[in-house]
Amino acid sequence: MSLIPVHSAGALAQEASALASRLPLLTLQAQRVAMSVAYGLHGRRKAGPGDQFWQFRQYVAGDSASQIDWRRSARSEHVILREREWQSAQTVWFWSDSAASMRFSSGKHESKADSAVILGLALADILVRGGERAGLMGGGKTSASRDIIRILCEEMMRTDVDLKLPPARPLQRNAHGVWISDFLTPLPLIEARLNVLASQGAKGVLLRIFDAQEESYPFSGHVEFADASLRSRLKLGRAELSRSAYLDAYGAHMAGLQQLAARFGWHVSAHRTDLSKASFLLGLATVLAHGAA
Amino acid sequence: MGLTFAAPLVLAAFVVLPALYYLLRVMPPPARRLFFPPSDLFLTADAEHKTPVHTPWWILLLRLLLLASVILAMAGPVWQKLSASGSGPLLVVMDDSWAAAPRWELRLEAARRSINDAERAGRIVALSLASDAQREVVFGDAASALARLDAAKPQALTFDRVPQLEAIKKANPAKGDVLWLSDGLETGKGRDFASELAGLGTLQVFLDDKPIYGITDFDGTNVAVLSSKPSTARQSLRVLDAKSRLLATYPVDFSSSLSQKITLDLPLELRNEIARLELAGVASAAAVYLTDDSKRRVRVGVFADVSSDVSQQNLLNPAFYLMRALSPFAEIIEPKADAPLPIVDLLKREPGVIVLADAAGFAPDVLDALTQFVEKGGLLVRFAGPHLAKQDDALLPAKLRGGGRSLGGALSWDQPKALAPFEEGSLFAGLAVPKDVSVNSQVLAEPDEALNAKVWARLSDGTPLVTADKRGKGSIVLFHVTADAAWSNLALSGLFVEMMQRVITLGPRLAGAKAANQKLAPPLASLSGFGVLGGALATAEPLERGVALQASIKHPPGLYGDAERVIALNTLDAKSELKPLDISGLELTLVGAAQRSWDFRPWLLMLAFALFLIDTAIMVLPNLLRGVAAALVLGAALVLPHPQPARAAEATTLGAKDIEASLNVHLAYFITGDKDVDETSRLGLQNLSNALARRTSVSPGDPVGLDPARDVLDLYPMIYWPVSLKAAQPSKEAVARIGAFMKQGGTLIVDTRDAQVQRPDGSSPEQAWLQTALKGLSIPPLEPLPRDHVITKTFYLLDGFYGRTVTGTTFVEALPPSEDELRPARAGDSVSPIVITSNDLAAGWAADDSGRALFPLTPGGPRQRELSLRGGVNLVMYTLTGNYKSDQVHVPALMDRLRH
Repeated sequence: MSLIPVHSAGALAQEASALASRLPLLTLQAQRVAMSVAYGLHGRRKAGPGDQFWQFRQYVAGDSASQIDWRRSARSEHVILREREWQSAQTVWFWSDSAASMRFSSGKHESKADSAVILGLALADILVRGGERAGLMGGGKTSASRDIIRILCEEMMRTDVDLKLPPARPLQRNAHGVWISDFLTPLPLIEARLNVLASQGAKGVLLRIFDAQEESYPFSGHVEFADASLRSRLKLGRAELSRSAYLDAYGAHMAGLQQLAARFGWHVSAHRTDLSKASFLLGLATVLAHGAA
Repeated sequence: MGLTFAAPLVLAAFVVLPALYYLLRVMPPPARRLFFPPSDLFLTADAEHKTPVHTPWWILLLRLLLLASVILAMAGPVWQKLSASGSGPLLVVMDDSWAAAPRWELRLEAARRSINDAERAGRIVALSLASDAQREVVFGDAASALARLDAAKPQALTFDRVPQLEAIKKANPAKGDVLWLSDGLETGKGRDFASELAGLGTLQVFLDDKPIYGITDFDGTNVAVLSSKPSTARQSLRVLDAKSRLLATYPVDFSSSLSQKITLDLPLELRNEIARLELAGVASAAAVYLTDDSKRRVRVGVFADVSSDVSQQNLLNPAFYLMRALSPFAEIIEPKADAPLPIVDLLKREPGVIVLADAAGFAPDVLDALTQFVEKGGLLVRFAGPHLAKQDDALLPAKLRGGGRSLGGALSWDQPKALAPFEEGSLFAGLAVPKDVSVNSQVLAEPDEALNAKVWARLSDGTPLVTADKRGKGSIVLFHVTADAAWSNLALSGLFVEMMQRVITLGPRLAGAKAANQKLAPPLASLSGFGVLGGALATAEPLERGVALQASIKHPPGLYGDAERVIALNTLDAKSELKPLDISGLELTLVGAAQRSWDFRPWLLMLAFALFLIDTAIMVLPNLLRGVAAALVLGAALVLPHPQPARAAEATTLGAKDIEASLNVHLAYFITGDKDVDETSRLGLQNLSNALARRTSVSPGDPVGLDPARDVLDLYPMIYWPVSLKAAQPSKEAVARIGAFMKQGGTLIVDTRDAQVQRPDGSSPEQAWLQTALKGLSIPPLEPLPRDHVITKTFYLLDGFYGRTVTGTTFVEALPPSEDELRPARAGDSVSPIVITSNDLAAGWAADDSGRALFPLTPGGPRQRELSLRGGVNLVMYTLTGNYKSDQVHVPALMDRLRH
């Protein structure tokens, strides 16, 4: 049984345009979420490229002449250099799962896919405002532009919509990955892909988005489970009987994911779609900051 | 009595019920189909989990009941009295008069059943029809009798039974069974007929217990309706015009009396339109009464002998008063202005009534013509006046005293006289006499013994005001005052109108007046026994005009004459009576009403359908609590057989949406059913609303999608209607409502969106679609948008209306041609009810929430988008402000702006 529902090209294009038409709205939400989370620049506490003044020191042979602070030097007998604090920009690569399974929503709140996009964009915005660079996995370019949300949006529109896993391309050693998905994929597949991503030592976060119903399994009676296009996949005469089996399998999968991530030194962060995104992002940003520091 | 099945073999199908019971038990209730992504990963279909839930017992019961009722219905259960089968030949005597028509099928059924029974018993059968009495009665096989039976139709006549009896006796059958399907009327010696038939064998008589109704007379106002039996069932009399439009309905109640007189209290104008009276729901020729010209308008010739300068001044002209008084209920003719002999000219046009105001001193040939007119049946109404006071003539009801008299003048002692109340028996009896009507002058009649009988109205002193006399077939009526206000203010009162109305009822009707021209009236249309007016029967012969009419085989009821002069011949006339057949005491068996059978099939099928509906409802509402559902089953079972009348007032009640719409201006669009188009309309109008709010003082609410067939349209000043070929054509009702919307001042923006696909002559599939859709709407003449139309100036100064495309022409209601070349803006008196464009305006306006355009434009560019929005702003401003901007006040400002 294929895990990724088969869609006709037409349906895919329609889905993509539907997402694209929602993107401005999601952008707005992402901006609002990002604005409510303040995240400051972090200096490296040593001299290096940056905007902030760090210290003056005497010129030694080999220093670049352009670094000399002539006004300061004129007041003393030595040639003085102005050094700035080294502000290194981290590169954060995003990947947001937009496969069919992400379109699920049990209530009036956003679907998992929408949540994923909002969180991803908001996080990117926060990080860029904090001085980092962000990019879309598979997109190739990173940017530190204030307009990062729009840039990422455009990149998303350009990429395929129905991909469950990020492109198998290693992240650079110092880069961070943010993989947003519901991770409803067999663990070996996730492991293989994570193996590639982290092959050069990149760290990151697995951002797991889930719907409340997925944890509670509130079904009973004769239920027919279907895929996103409502094609039948599985019939259960009495769904309530499968509850414990489901919860066990679900718990085991998530625990496995946790272990898997830990093995690569990645974090797992879970977000329920009907909860506040801002408070979740704050926590997540802190996690990333620690990882980045 | 007994329960029989038409197809008893079908009952064998009951053996499948147990099998169905098992199947249904196994079949689970329908599954809820859910999209649940983790199911792929974490759920497996264990055998244990696949075990279905059993169908609940009440669904099981429901379905078994459903199937059982279908099987039963198919078996055709009928509850009926079993008729004892006889022996010997069977004679079926069928009355096919109009009285048999209301329950014709029942009679046919009874006859068929008897004939079939006889055929099965191998008996010979004969059929005798009342309408075909002369025909020889031949006993033979059932097939030919059945064939004749099938061809039989009730006639709009009643028949004499004597010849029929003779024909039957001539056949001289052996003793056997006789079935007489009687029409229930005594007409034509019914009782004797029955007793004679009883002598021929065992007589069964089919007698309907329902009363027989008939309309016997209609004199233009009063309708006489008869019933053969007292009945508590309320009948209603429908009054229809020539186009079968209902004019009025009157209840008829036969519980107290068998003969009812109904007075039609219709205005005279409507009364003249009456073409047909019928008893609702009674399918018989006697329940229909056709009217002809004789019940309609009288043609009245009016002539006043006044000089031409007086005739120019209405209030001095007696003819004016007469015409005003007569016009509601008469066709008025006047002599031609240049006719040398005006009265002869009038007579040539064959009026029924001639009214002469103060005409006297006739030339001999005029006098001859008038005398002849009266002698032949015409009515001559004369009014006194100065001329008549001087010279009287032979055409007066009474001899006049020369000179007349005046009352209350300067040279008179007397006060003006009031009118005396009308005497009982006078033509005017019952009319109220207003106190303020008084008479100043009158002409007096020579008193003699005959005068008293001729007086119809008097003054308070007893002198005659109106006298009348018969002359040949006609009459002469004289008003002793003038027809204007000179001698009396009678002509100013309402009483005058009422008196004139009664007077002209004496006049012959048009048909009579024309009689001389055509002797014979060919048949035009004939009534069937069911009371349906159809083509003229082949047996119908032309009717001789002026002869007393009575329906017969030669002259079946219906219409005769030509389209101009129609004579109606009705089934019943004023002398007819409906005497029910009395056969008590005779040796016979009654069948008919008592033998009515009950067919259970429709009821069973209805029950099955109701059960099916309930079952379906339960299937689509699986989340319903089972207890609730069970209660619903019971409740619905009780409710379903009595379906409530559909809510007719749905469209006229205002919903929350309408109330919201009336509180603010909303742009609206018609929902076409094509999702893309509808969404474009909504987004386009939304962005236009935003633009209006930003740029103008109009802040419209959210755009509203409307269904023209259901929603209230009048609340929206402007409705955008994109044409989509995928959309269904609007229903008739929707078109009517769109028409009403346009009539009430709304503007319809029709967008064919086809500017790029139009052929050079402007045609396209969309245009064809639109033409079909607008069929039946009154669309004003249209013209391509002129450059100086006010719609291009209402807010922005524009050259045209652009949307996604710019090449399409915009059409608006054609303006009256411009008189003033200098004016920059021109407008009609009202807002153009329709604007037709093909540029796909909504796509030009549409933008997302952040204001970014959603559609690529052709040729494109921000300027086009801006112009398209400006066009939208202008359209809305035009619908809201109308021709305001074409006012002279704005000319300087417009000119100034146009110059720059």
